[in-house]
Amino acid sequence: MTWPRVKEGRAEQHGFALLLFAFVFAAPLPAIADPKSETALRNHIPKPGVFPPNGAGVLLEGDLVVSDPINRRGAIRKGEYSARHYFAMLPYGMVRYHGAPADIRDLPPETHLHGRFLLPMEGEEETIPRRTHNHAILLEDDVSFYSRQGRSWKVVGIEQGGGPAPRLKLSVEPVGPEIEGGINKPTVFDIDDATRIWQDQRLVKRDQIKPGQLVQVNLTWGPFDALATTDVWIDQSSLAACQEIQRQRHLRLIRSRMLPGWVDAVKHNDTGGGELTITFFGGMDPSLYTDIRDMKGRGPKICNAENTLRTWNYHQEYASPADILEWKATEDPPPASSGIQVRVSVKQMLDGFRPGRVVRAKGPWTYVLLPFDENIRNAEELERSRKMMLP
Amino acid sequence: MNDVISVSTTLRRPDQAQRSFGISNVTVKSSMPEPRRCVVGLRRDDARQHSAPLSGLLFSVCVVIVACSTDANAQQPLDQTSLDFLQSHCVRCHNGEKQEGGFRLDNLVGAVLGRRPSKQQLSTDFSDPQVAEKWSEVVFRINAGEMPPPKEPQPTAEQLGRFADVVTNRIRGGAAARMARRGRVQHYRLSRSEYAHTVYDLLGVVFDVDAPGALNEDPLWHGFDRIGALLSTAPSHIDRYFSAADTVVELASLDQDRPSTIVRKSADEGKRRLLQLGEGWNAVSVPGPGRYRIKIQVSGLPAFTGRVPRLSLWHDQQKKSFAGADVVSSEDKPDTIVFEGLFPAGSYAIRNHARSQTHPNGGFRLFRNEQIDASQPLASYRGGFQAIQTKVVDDEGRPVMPTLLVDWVEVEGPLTTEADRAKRKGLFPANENDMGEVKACLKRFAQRAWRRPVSDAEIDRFVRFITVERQAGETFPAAYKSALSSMLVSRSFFNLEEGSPDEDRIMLNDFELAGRLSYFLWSSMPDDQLFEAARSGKLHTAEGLAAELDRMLADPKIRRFLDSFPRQWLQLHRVGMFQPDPNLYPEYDPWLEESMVMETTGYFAEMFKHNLPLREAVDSNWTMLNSRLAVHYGLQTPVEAKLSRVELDPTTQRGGILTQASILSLTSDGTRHRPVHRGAWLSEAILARTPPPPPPNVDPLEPVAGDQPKTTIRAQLEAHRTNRTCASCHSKIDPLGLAFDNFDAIGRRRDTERVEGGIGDNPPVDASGSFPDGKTFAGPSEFKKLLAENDDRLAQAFLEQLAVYALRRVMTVDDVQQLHTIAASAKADDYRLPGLIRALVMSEPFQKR
Repeated sequence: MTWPRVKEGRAEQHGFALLLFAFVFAAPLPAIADPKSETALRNHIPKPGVFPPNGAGVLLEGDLVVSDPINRRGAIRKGEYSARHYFAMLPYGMVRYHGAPADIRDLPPETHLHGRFLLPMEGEEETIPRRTHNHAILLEDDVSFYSRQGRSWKVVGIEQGGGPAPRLKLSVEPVGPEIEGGINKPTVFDIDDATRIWQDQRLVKRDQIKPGQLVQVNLTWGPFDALATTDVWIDQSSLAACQEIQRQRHLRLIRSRMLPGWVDAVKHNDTGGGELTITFFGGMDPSLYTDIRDMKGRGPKICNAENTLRTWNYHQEYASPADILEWKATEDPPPASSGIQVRVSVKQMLDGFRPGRVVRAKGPWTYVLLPFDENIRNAEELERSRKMMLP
Repeated sequence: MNDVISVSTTLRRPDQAQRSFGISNVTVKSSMPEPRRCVVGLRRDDARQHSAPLSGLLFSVCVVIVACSTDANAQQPLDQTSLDFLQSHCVRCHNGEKQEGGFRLDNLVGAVLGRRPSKQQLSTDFSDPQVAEKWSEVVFRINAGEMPPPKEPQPTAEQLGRFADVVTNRIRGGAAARMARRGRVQHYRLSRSEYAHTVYDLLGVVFDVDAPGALNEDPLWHGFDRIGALLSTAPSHIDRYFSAADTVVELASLDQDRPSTIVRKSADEGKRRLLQLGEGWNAVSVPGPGRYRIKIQVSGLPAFTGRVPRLSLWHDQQKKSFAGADVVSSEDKPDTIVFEGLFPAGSYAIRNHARSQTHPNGGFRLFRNEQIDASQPLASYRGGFQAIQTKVVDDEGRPVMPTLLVDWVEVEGPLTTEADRAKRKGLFPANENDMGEVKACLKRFAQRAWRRPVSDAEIDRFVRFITVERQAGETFPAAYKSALSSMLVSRSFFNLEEGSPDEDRIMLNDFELAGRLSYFLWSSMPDDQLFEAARSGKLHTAEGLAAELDRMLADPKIRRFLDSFPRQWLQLHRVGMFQPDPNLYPEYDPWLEESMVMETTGYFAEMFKHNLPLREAVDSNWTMLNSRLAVHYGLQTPVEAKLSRVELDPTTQRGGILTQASILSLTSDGTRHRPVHRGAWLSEAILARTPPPPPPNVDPLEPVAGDQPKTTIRAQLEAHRTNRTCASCHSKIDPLGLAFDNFDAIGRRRDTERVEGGIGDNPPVDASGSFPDGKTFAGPSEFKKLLAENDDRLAQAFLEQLAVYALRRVMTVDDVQQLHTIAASAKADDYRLPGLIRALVMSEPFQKR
């Protein structure tokens, strides 16, 4: 395992990890692994049909440099001299952008991301070469990462940086609790005319940034291992506006691609139908779930999907209409689960309705013919989609 | 030759007609003998003259002439004591304002002769069969204690008895008059299926009467398709008889028998055809109707529940199955199923028999429509690209539904048996120029086709026809075939003719008796032996008739009766008429429907075969089951997959016809059971009493509203008990149906009634009730026991139904006494089924027109 060079702003994180690593390997390992131990949690191998426990996997960060939105895969660059860290989203993996649910396709290239990564799911070991923590359960941009955990930045000032190529810097102090994987001390970010500065839901000039303001920022790659700002939000309403736009993008996406979940249990009758118990994946806008719950007349249509959440040709046609028999919502579900489990009856069991397999449910939304490259159209495409094609 | 002019008219009072036309002593020829409709003909007799000009008669369409010197008594009004009785006990409700029950009697009390009766007023013309029927209903009601209603002032027993006697005597007295009104000759047209059987027995030709456009459908009268009065002959019938006759003669005359071919259709190389539930493979094509042998190599894999696949040969155009088999065989050891029988022409699918379900977008269900690798085990058909197809196997590799894997199918035919060939022997003359031989061939054919001796004069017409055709340039074979076709369009072929125009004959002659007997027991023409018995006059002796009857009961063709009679008597055509809603009854499928009907007809056949008493039709400890029915009833699957007799535990509450799924479901409306209809059916079929129709403007039952507690249908029929008008009929109808409330709309047992809508739990069922005589029952088992105890009544009712079927007409008040006598003669034998049939055949009404 190679470690990145310790960098300003990241030293603590990696130093901490180094210490942890040393501690773990210096001490004798117990003969039988305690599932609750840090190592077990970190190296947890997800099983199809079972959500991982809270805190499983590792936290990593980097800039998004490769993006395969159709297969929900990509790569992040953890540091200037690091190899790319290729990853795939777990089927229930969530993406957040601007504080709203999102997808890989919503993330601009080089967006600085924070993510929690697990070892590959059983059966997915060959998806990404080099077996490591490369299956993401959560990916989010900085504003989502920090604001979710109650953090913001207090502006200290805008300064001229020194060095051979002096650049403008935004100097900030952290406001809020210390968070794992985040910057927990005063720091500077590059700022220039390419940074979007939001106030009153408008773009404003840099001179509107005043010391003492509480702001949120989104970051990207900067030269000489700096982090550069892409956006600075001076007030909540501006962030909320951007959040809402992203939320609508998300709604548009899920309504056309359908709400994903997986099959917990199957009960057949012998006339070709039966009952399915499905748990929906979490991280979606709540209205999507209630849309399905409140359907009148006909119930949702259930179609098959792969672990990439890709559906087959004409996903409405090759879907089985279902009637909802039971709708259960649990408090405090495991991460990435919505906590919503439904039992539906179908007249036609499709072959893909098996425990642990991903399905997508169509609510009362207008049917959309997807672009053909998103569909899996034949066995050959299915084979090809099983492994990430590295650029 | 006497001309016959038929005039269609409505019945008027005869005295008025007489006065208008001053005609007397004219006999009437009726071409439609039944009392319900009146198509009356006027016969011009050389010996009698009309005073009214013929043209005047022809143009006046409103008059009928009825005369008979014995009619005078039949039309007399009632005596004063009887009129007083009517005034005291009847007219209060049955008058001009109230007209309870839809008729009034007040005109008779006014005793104004000559006043024209309206429809509701009951006349006293006992020579009119409809009037006599109505009065007999009045007597029945009085004798049964139903009228006057219990809350009205009651007559003394003596008054009541006297009145009933007076009316009964008047009814009896009018019998002769009623009989005289019938014409001398009656025609009973053959039903479609009888036509088909006749053609097959006559010429060995299979003619598919059910094909669209072949022959008109027969109207049903309470399930019976052979009631002479209803089977009228319209120009479209004749038109179709012409086409049918041409086809039949053509098929009979193919010089060499049609060459028999073997056509084989296989799945692709190394592959097998996968058929999931409801899926079919259109692999069988039958070019022309006939006898075929169809072989299929197939594996049948039961579903994980054990349900066995049913293979059926499904006719694509007629949408029904002509052959089928349960198939259970492993993938590596397929079965070869052989079907041999008569098949109509068309394309057939080899089908995994089940209900087709439409895709929600309107197309058909997403079948795989696939041929799978013969080498790959079925358990491996999952995962990968299979995902969007219907599931074949579950995670343990077991089929999720009954599945068929077909390798090939072979159609061999048409086959001709020796027996079929023998029927056509001598049909065509060897020497076309030998007119003597031609005539002999035609005469031989006509005698068989028309089922009676044929005079030379009748044949000469056809010989002349052939000669004329030949002179016009037609070839002999074509002309001869046309002559044969014409014989098959003669009314003597497609009708049973009874009576002679020259004589007033009540008794049937030998040939008419032979025809009646063979159409009763075989739905077809007499065979050579029966013809011989008729020719020799043996049929009119008791020994001769009994000997032929026994022979016919033992002949294989009796299965036509054993299949057709229960279907008509028990109105099995209603099974599946309202298809059960697939959402509510997903288990209902076409094979279940066929099995249900087979259970009932098989039950009847078993009763016949084993000489069982009639009461076992109502209550027994056995039934006929196949694997599908056993699953439906929740009973253990019988050892044999095909229909076989199974002894039942009393706790099953099955046993007897009344609790068979076909009977319980034929009155349902597709969503729920209908107890009142069940009661009406039982009253009609088992007790031979058709309840009167409901009054108009009765509101239908509303579904339970969303905020109301769930209630049973029985509870919603509360008005039938509390409202006096309703209760007058429904107290007799409802208990007969409510006794079976613990069976749902498709005949399954249940303890609670599933109620759509409403709040709360589904309510428990209540199948208790009481008969009009006060006897109570807690459920169907007790009900059946009570009903079976009164086997005199059962036999009387059954004989009436049997007589309707045999005599092809509705039983009237004049038949009642004779049916009693027949029943009495069968009682000594404990009313066994063959005994009842014998009693009817040997009785006097059977030998009378």
